[in-house]
Amino acid sequence: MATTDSARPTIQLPAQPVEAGNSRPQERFRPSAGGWAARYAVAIGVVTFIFVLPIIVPDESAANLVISAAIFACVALSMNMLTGYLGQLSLGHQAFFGIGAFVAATIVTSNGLPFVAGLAVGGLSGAFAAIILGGVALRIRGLYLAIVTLAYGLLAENSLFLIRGLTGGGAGLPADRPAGFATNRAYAYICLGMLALLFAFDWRLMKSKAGRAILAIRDDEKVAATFGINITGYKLLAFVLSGIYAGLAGSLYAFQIGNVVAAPFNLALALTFVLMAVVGGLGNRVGVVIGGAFFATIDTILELVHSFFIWLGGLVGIHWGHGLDPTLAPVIGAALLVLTLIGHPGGIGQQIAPLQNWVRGGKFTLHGGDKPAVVSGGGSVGRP
Amino acid sequence: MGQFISSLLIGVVTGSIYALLAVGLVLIFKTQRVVNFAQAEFATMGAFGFYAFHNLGGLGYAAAAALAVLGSGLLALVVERAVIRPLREARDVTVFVATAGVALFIVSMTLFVGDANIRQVEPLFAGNPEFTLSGLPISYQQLLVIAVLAVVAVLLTIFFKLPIGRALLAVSREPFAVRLAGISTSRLSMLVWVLAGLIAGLAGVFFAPTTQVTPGLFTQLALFPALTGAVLGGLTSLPGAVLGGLAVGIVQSVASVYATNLGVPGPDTAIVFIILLAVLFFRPEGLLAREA
Repeated sequence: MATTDSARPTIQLPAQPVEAGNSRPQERFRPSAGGWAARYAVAIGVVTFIFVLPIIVPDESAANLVISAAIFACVALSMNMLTGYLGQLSLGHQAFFGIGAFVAATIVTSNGLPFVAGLAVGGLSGAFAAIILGGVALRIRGLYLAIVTLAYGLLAENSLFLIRGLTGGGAGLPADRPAGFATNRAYAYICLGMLALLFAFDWRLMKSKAGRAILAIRDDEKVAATFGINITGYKLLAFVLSGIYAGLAGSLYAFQIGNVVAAPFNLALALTFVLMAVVGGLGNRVGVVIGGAFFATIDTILELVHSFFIWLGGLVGIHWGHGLDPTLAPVIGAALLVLTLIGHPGGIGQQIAPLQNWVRGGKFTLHGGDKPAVVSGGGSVGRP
Repeated sequence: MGQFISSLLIGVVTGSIYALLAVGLVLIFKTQRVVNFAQAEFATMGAFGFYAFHNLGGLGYAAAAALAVLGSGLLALVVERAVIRPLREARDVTVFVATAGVALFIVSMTLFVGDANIRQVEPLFAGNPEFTLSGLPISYQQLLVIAVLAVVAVLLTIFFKLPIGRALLAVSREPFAVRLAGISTSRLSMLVWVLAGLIAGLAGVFFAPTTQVTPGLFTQLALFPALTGAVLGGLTSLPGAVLGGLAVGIVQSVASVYATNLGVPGPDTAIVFIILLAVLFFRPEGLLAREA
């Protein structure tokens, strides 16, 4: 029953069973030289593949998909920072993303500053938008905070983005790409570069004291405070970083579409961001990036699968002439979200964990890897 | 002054919708500590069900309305069995995300099966008669929405005097003791979801004629104000939900009349956001935080 009361104790098993009387440390698995070579080959192969994508895609519209995938992957990292690492659900991420887009467009078009300045100020404005919410999060937690983030996103969507003086109303704000990056293929490299930068930063951050502190706050705020972790500071840090990621992604998005209007930054987009992070696998950096890329390109993926089945049907003599309904994608996305939560809470990250473990120098085993992070929020239910 | 009174009445009408949804939200939160993001979609499905049975199926008004409301209840039951029950050990925010997924699924399903066209649902009174209150037309259908809220409130009051209603109240206090007393909490959970679905279905069927029905209508229009109303009432209090929903509706309506000349777009969303933050900061237990 979900009718648990707030005082229900949660039993947590230790991550590794303690073996009594066996003090000999277990021999750690080390791959052979050939094993390392294979692992490096795979890792370098994947990275190379991603970075030659803008060249090998057939046309400009396909390169545009690469841009979308990279931008959504950046947003997925941003969602992951808040929801995966800090454990606070955000239903208002369209606000950070949209503010980044509008500010970047304003800086470059109205103020005439260079592209890099637009990116920087866009990212900072995302951080500014996030730190306001972070201040609220210091007092309100869990479900209540989730409702506040929902309200925050709706406020941005219905009020802030419609103020004519700031966002140009319905006409929108034009945002031109920097010289030399006008084509989608070239611009894709900026987006992939940003993704690589954020990915590497996120990776190093989570290996640092700050990263461990943020994870500790997620697992138990009171215990973390007992160990002397500055709860206020690290919570705000997570919000600020999440805002910067989303603001940078929004800035890139502004130059991708070239004219920023308010319409795309709606609740449906915020829910898509939640989808990306949850289906990708909260707390798993690679998983959420794949989730982001997947949901950015889901229409095209469905189109390809569809034409594959038509081709397959043609081979065996069946002809189904139905066109693909473009409204199918959100149905599949929502179903994936619910199925992920019920059946595989680790999402894509859980599925690829054996591969990740192998590349890191472990054995390829289907029964290991990290325990997935669950969407959590402030622990006990009840009053905020 | 006349403008004030008419905006007050409009506020009570929209507030009734918020209150009906908030009652469903509170029923579910009370017994399960789950905030149901899909609550407003049960109402939208009520409106669409009515459109399907009445306009497409050719059923009479009463039969179509009854079937649509029952359909919403059934939908809620399916959601409870298929999504909420498997997640009974999960944390509250996980379940919240799952119900958001359900809402998204329902909206995208309506778009997939149907289309995004605007549908006009027929009102109960033929020709949708109106009267004018200080320059603003008010239809009888809008008054009917208030009547639906009153009837639901009375029925719920009676319901909670019955043994099964008392069992529901007990579950929200002490679920373990309720199980010891030999009451199936699993069945109570189903009952609560069906009740919430039926109430939302009523709201959908009777409010739909006063506006234009589009996929996701109630999620866009009423979910967030209803949530705020429920939080304002304390999230566990049914009278609180009714009063909170009405209060949010009235404040929103009055604010959108008087704030239009401030030049800020979307004053109705902004004012609800302010209410929500004010309640959470200064009185997080809500106005009527008692278990009844």
